[in-house]
Amino acid sequence: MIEHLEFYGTEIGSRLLIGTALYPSPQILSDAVIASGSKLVTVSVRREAARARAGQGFWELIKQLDVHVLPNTAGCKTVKEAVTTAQMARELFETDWIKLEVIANDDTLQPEVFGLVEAARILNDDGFKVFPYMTEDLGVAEKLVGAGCEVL
Amino acid sequence: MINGEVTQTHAKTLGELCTALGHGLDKVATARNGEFVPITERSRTLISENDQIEIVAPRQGG
Repeated sequence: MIEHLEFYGTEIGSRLLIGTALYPSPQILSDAVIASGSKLVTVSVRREAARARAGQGFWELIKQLDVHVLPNTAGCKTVKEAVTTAQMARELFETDWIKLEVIANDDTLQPEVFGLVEAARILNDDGFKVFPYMTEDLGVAEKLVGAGCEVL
Repeated sequence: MINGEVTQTHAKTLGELCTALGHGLDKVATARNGEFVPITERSRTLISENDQIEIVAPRQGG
């Protein structure tokens, strides 16, 4: 088994990626990430209400964990939405890594593959390191690699 | 419209708007009419009636 995991030239100390959704409290989230040994957590961006500071609190928690973060473009259905969300995520999380999602159907959450490849190309050209959300379609995989993706 | 809701404001720029909404020093990112506006550009980005403004923050998910 390959012991080390490397994405875009960065070695990750664990092969386990862990999400940050649906934990009952920030403390339990923090404890779970630490206990898992994971060095890469997936995160998101959401609308922030006026005078709310939920995002600031979450950001402080993530910084304390000292892990790599992988933000995503969940909910995006167009190339434009995905690219803009990625740009906002890059500024917020101070990383050019992005889990790229361009969704065709709200029920199945299957990717809109044409938009996915186009958005991947735009973002790779803009210096992002793209992790595209896709199915097992080998043809799409080849297009994504051709668009600059080094991870599928 | 801010984050999908019609909102009244006297702010003239995106920077003033973020401050007026209490986000002045917080970790937020912005877009105007679907275009990302970097934090360095907010004070120079004029806003107008019928603009679609998005203000987002780091959150759990993924």
